[in-house]
Amino acid sequence: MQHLIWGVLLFPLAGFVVNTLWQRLRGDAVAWIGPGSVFLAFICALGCFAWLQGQSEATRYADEIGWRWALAGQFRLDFGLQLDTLSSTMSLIVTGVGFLILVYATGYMSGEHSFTAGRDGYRRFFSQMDLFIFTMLLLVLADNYLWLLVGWAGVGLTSYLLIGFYFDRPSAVKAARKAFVMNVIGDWGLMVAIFMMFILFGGVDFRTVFSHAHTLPFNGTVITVMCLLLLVGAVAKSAQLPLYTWLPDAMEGPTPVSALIHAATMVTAGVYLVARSYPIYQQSPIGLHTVAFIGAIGTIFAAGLGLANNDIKRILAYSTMSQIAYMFVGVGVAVYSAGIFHLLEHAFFKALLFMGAGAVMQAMHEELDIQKMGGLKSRLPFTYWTFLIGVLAIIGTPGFSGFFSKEDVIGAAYARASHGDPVLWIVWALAVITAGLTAIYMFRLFFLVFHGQSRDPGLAAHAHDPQPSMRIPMAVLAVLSVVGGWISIPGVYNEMEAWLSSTLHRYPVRGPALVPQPFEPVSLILTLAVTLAGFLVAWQIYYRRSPSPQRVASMAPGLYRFMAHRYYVDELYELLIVRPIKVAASALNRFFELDFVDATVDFAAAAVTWSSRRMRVAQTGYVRNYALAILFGAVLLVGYYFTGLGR
Amino acid sequence: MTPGPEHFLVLSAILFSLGTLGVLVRRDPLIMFMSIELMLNSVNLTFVTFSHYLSSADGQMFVFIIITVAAAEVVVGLALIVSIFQTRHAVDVDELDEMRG
Amino acid sequence: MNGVESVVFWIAAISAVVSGIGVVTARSAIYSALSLIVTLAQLAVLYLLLNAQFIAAAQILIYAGAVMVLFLFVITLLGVQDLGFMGQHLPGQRVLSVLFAGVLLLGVVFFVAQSPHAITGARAGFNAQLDRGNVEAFGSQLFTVFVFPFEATTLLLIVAMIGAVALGRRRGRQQS
Repeated sequence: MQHLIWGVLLFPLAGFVVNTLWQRLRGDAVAWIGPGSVFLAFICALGCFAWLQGQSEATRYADEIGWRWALAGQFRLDFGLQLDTLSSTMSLIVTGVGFLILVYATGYMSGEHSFTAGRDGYRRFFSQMDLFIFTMLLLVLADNYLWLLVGWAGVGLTSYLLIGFYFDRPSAVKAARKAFVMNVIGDWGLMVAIFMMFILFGGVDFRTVFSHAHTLPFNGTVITVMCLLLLVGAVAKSAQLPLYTWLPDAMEGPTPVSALIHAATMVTAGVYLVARSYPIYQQSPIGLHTVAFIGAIGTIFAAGLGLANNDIKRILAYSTMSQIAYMFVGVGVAVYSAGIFHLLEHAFFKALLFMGAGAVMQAMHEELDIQKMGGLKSRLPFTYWTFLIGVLAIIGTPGFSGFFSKEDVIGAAYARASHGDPVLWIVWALAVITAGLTAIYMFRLFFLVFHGQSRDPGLAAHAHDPQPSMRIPMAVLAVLSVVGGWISIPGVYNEMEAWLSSTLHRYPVRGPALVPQPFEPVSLILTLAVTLAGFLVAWQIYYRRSPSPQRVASMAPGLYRFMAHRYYVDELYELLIVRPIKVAASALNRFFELDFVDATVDFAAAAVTWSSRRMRVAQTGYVRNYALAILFGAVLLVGYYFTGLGR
Repeated sequence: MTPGPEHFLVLSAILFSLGTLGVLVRRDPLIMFMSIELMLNSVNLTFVTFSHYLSSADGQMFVFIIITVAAAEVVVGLALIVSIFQTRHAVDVDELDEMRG
Repeated sequence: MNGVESVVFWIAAISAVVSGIGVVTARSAIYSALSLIVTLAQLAVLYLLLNAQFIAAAQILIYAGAVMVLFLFVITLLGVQDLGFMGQHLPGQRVLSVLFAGVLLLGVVFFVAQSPHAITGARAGFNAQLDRGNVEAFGSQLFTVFVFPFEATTLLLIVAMIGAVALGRRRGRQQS
């Protein structure tokens, strides 16, 4: 039954191939193949999950070897898949949530959303989404770093393709390019880390690397560098500081893309990478701390950005960045189960929120500016209630899924900080403060969109709830956003930690102990208090409107402008990085490309022309000349034999 | 002196060289063609010589084939010459220089 | 061979060379053709001296009888023109031709002179069959050992016929 893992990987690939090669597929067929292939993959993932449940703790994994891929001297690499609790969890998320989003997309993408410069947008969308799911699964299921990198690059590619889906829009094309370039920086980090692994351990498959990771000097330079390089990759892929600016721009893509790739799955790949590489990170506390701090700073940084933004999708993008930063905190304090737990729950409610945003956009004729919305509660009741569930989940309302996972993370930081790692108090503090900020900006969004007076009645005139194909997935995710967290209550029955322990204890490690963290009531109460305070602030300003939002903004105009312009980070990058590169590139072009490379190529062509002009003289056109040439050759042959040379 | 194989072979060589010169030096295509026939015949003589002095039938067989092929070649070649030069007034092989360059 | 045969050889050989020169140097194509016929006849005589009676007969019948007649037909069809004796304007052609042909000739002569003893032997005992007559001996080889080339040349003749018909067809609408 564990062999079903191949089905998980190959069904979406088949879906991609069919959707791509069969140019004349009609819309309904595409709508079945796209989500259908992912559904089949989900079934297979469930099968693998069940199989794992049936195994004992010590043997709760399966190394599925496919075929020998490379053999060079001592280096040997097979194409294989790793089925363990971590990869099973990730594959279930990818296929399950992916399936729901694809069903949603069959409704959302029909109609004007598919109209692009190409005529077959609907089919192209689903084939690219299938490709994405395939590469994402390859990333999480691979049993070695090389194929993980292949999946890594693959999701980068499909992300580029899907962000630039509306390729006749210059802004979309720019955003796609930006995402890809930043991702490549991450790819570089990951690649160099893999090179290091090859040099240090002689192989890049998990077994080899993880069994030998603890032989390197603890907290030494080498292992820390490896951790940091992996982190570069994770930061780029997960849109954390400082490589995050591509994520808000990525909202140029269709909303289902934003839901799947830039919320639930691809951007979580960085978290997966750190969690998977735990033997390496355990060996370097400095590396772990770096991860935690990037998470902690990132979470509050992104929350601030969400506070002053007016674009519904971009606010959700910043919230994604912030929540992923929470996951980084979780894995950074070496409580990997907390990070993965939040990853799971986040997938539910973030996908739900994006679906809701898509419904709102569809109702408001693609309008993104929340300042033009308002009063949509009465017009879109279904969307209203599901969106509310999502908001409650994300801020960590007790009982909802986000509550359990976020408390898991924050509590983990508290526990580590109080048990011998005091520097982590900063991390904990930032995480708690951000919980409050999250409540503020999420409810700001909620109130501005759904409550109050409609600020643009003309736009909202024909607003209505979306069609069933979109509503059903939203409903499913809403349910999951409520009950999904009950599977594991940290401190009471930490099911997530137990589930992942079989993976986390497979290899010998040093560093922070990988045991369930104790329940921390102090942290819980403080977090809830801050969250409630945040909700009340948002209630006061954006619902009761006293003081009104405009007055609040005018109270600190400089700060407000700073935040509204996204801290001017984009401009900073443009100045420090982009422009020098462009200058260097054009200089190289002028002095190297044109004068040297082009000159060489032109010279080669000229040489050929010159020589052929000289040799053309021999082609006189006269038969007798040619006959003479033949005779000449015959004479040479005769001479060769008759003068003894040929003996 | 009594003619032996070498005499026949030298005669054959002389005829062959004459034929070669004819092909290279003359401009009338028909004369060129006939020079080629002369070359073929010199080779025939060589073959028959060897057949006789080595007491083997192979040489004569070859001659048989050569004669047949030469006949076929003459037929086709003359047809070609006729069709090329039919429309021209001068019969000069040097006028066929379209393949120049 | 005996004395009569020697004399016949020398006469035939010298005549062949002289008429060969005639083929190459004749001013008009008709003279060239007639010289070639003489050459072919001399060669037939030489074949008889070498006990190849069938080949000699074939030479006369086919070569001199059919092929040369065809040549004469074409020559009269195309018209005979005097292009000027060996006139040419290709630079170096004449000199180089004579040079290379001469080298070729000297090479062959040199080689032949070097090894006079190698060209004897009784290979397949072909000459012994001559008491039956050259034609019968020739035929017995042709239709047994060499039957494949025989059939192949048959095919070749058919192809040549088709080719000649195709080439000789008058292409309609063409101005002549």
